[in-house]
Amino acid sequence: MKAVERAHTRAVTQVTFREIALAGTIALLGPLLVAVFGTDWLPVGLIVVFAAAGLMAGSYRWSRRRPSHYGVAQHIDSAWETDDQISTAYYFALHPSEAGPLVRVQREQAAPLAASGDLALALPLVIPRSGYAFATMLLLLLVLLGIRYGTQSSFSLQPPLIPIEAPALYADAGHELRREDSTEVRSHGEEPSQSLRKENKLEKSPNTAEPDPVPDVIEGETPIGDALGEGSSALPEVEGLSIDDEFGDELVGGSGEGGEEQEDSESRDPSQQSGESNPDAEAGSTGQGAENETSNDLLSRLEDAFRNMLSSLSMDPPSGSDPGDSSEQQSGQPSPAEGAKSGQKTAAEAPDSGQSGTDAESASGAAPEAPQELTQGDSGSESSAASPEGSNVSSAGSKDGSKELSAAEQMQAMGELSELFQQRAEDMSGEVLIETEAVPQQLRTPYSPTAAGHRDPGGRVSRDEIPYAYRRYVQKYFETLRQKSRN
Amino acid sequence: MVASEQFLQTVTDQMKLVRDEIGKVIVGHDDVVEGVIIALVAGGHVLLEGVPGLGKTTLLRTLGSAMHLDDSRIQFTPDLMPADIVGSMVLEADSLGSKELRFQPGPIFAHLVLADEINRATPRTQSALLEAMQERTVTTGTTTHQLEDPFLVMATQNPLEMEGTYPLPEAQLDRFLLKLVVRYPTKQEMEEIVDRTMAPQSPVVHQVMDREQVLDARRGAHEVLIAPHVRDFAIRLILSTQPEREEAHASAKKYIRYGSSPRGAQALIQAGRVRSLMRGRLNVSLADLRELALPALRHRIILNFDAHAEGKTADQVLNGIIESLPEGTR
Repeated sequence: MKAVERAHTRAVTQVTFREIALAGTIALLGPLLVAVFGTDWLPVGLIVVFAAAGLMAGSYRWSRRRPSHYGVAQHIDSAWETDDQISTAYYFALHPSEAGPLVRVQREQAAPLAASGDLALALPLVIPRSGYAFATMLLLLLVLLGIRYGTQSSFSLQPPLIPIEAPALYADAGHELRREDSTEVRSHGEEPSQSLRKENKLEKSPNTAEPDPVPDVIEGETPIGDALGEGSSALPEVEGLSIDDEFGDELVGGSGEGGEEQEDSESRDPSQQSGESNPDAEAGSTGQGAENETSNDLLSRLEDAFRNMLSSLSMDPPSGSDPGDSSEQQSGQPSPAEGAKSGQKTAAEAPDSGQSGTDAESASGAAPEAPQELTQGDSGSESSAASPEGSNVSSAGSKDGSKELSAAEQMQAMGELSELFQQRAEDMSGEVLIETEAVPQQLRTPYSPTAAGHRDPGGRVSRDEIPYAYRRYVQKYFETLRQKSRN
Repeated sequence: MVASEQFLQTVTDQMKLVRDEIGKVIVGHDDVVEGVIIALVAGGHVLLEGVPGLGKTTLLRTLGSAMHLDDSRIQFTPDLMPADIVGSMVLEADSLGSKELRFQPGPIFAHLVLADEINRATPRTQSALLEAMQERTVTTGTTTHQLEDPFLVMATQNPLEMEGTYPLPEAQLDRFLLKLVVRYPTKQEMEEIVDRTMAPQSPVVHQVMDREQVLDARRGAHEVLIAPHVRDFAIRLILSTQPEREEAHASAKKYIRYGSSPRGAQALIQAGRVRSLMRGRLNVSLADLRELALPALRHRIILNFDAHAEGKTADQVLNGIIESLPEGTR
C-alpha cells in the first residue's frame, strides 16, 4: 500500500503543478494586457481580476482533477500490467467487510508487484501543456517590459505601448457624414439634375478636399450607379480606381468640356460606349466638366435618344421637355439640325473611334487630376463638333421602333391565340379511345434492380429467395403485419 | 481450505495439467479448450459453433478422461424424441415374473454431455435438453431425477447446413454460459494433427483431476475477488449493448435489436473468476473481462436487419463496443 501512497503523492504533485501553471497563465493575462495598453487605457485592477480568476480556475480544476488513491492504484495497475491486482488489494484493504476469505492471499500476491514497480514508468514526469503556456506568457511579458524600458527608459505601465492614430478614424467618420448630408439635400424636393448640379458646384469649389463619390440613389429615379453601368465598364481597367470613389471623382472633374460628347457617346450602343470613343473625346475627357453626371442620368439619355430619333425624321424636338435641362440644352446641346450635321460629319470618323477606346479609358482614369475650372459652356461647341456617328443612327430612334411595332403586332396576335387556347382548354372534356392491334400482347415490366426497405409491405416474396439467415426475421415481420391487419 | 495459498496453487496446477492432457490429443484450439474448462468449473454450459471434423467430440472425451468424468454423446436428428435424451420408463420383469416400470436414464445422465448438432432436433426435444441444463433435474412421470454435478452440456451447431434445422431461440441460447467458435486449424497445427493420427500409438490421457476437485475449484472460483471498477466495467459493457439505453454504444444503437440480459453480466463475471483462477490470480481483472466478452456475449445479442444487411457480425459489433468502452477510474 506504500506504493499506492507514493504514487498518489506523485500524481497529486503533478496535478498541482499543472493547475498552478494554468492558474499562472490566466493570471499573467492581466499584466500582459496592461503592458500592451498601459494603465491609461486599462485599469490596474485588471491585474488583480485576472490573478483572482486564475486562482479560482486553478483551485476548481485541482479539486476536480485530484486523483483518488483507488484511481491511482488502477492507473499503476494499467501501467505496470499487473492485472488489477494492486487496485483490488488496495480496495479490499480499505473495505475489509466486503472481502472474502481469499483477500489475504490476494494481498500477498499483490504486495511484491507493488514493491517492484517503477513509479517513473507509471507516472512519468511530464511538463504539462499549461506549463508551456505559462512559460510563453511569462516570456512575452518580459519582452513587453523590455520594450517598455527600451522606449521609455522606465518600467512605467502608464502609456499604452501601441499608439493608435485616432485622427485618421475621425477623418473617415467626417467623410461619411458629408456623404450623408449631400444625399439628404438631394432627396428633398429637388430635381435630380438640379441637385446633382448643386453638388457639382459644391465639389468644384477649391476648398473641397475630396469630391463626392458616386451619388446615392435618387428617389424615384434609376440609381446613378446603375446608369453608370455602361459608361463605367471601361473603368475596371484603370489601375487603382474603384467605382465608388475614383469614378465619382472622374464624374465630377472630368466632364467639363466633354460633357456633351459624353452625352453623345452614351447614346450609342454599349459596346461603343465601353470600348470606343472619339479621338477628340480624349481631349474632352481630360478637360472634365461637371455635366458628366447629368449625362449619366437615364432620363437625359432617353431624352437624347428621342431627340436623335426626331432629328433623323427631320422633326423639331419637343420644346421644354424638361425645365431642368432647358438651360443645359441652350448652352451645351446643339440644335437638332446641328446634331444631324455633326452626325454626318463624324460618321466618317467612326472607324477610328473604336481604336481609341483605351485612350479614352486612360483619359477618364486620369480625370481626377484634370483641371476643373472648365465650364459647361466651353464644352458645348467642341462636343457638338466631335459627336460620334451614333448620334443620328441611334438604334432607339430609327430602327428599333419599327421592329418593336411589328413585334408588338405579332405579340398581340399571339396573345389572342393564347387567349383562344385558354378558353378552349377550360371547356375541354370527353373520353379518349385508344385502339390497339388485336394480337396477343405480353405486358412485361422490364427488370430493374430496385432497393426496397424491409418495411415495405405488399411484395410477395418467394421463400426460396430469402436467405436463410433472414427468413426468421421476414417471417416475424409478416406475422406482425397480419396481426395488425386483424386488429 | 479454500482461503489458502496452497489451495490456489493446487487449483492452478490442476487446471494447467488438464490443459496439458487435453493438449496431447487436441492440437490448437487453446481458446476453445480453455472455454470448455471455464464453463465446466463455473457450472455453465457451452455452445460450440464450427464445421464438422474439428475435434469437438474428441475434446469432450479427452476432458472426461482427464477429469475422470462420465461423458455421453447425443446426435440430434429431427426424429429425436425427448425420451431419447432424458430416458424413459421401461417395463421390466423380475425373476418371479412380476413386472414393474423402471426408469431407464437417458444419455443426459452424465457429467459431460455432447449434444451434437443440437439445432437439428425439434424444438420439443431441444427444450427437454435445455430444461435439464437449467434446472439440472429430469422429470419423468411423477419422479424427478437430479443430475449429478458437475454437469456440462457441450452443444454444437453447424453454421453451414442450416436447411431443415431449428435454430435455438434466443431465450435458450441465453442459457449457455459461453459460445465458442471453433475455427480451422493453422498449417502448423494441421501438420501436427496429421503426424499424431498417423502415429502407431494414440496418446494416452491421464487422469489429473477428479469430480471432487472440480467442485472444489468451482467453490474457490466463487471466492475470487472482484474490485468495484472491474465489476463496473462488466455492467457498463452489458448496458452499452442495450440499444434503448442512454449508455448504449453508437454501434449498438445502430446494429443491435436486443442487447444482453443481466445474465450476460453474471456469465462474464463468473467466467472471469475461473479464468483468473486458472492464471493463478485471486482477482478478476479487466483483461479477463475483455477476453471473455466475446464468448460470453456474442450469443446474447440479437442483431437487427441493418447489421445483417451490412454483413456485420455479433463479434464485430461487440469488438467495437469493447474497444471504445473506457475502463474508468474511481
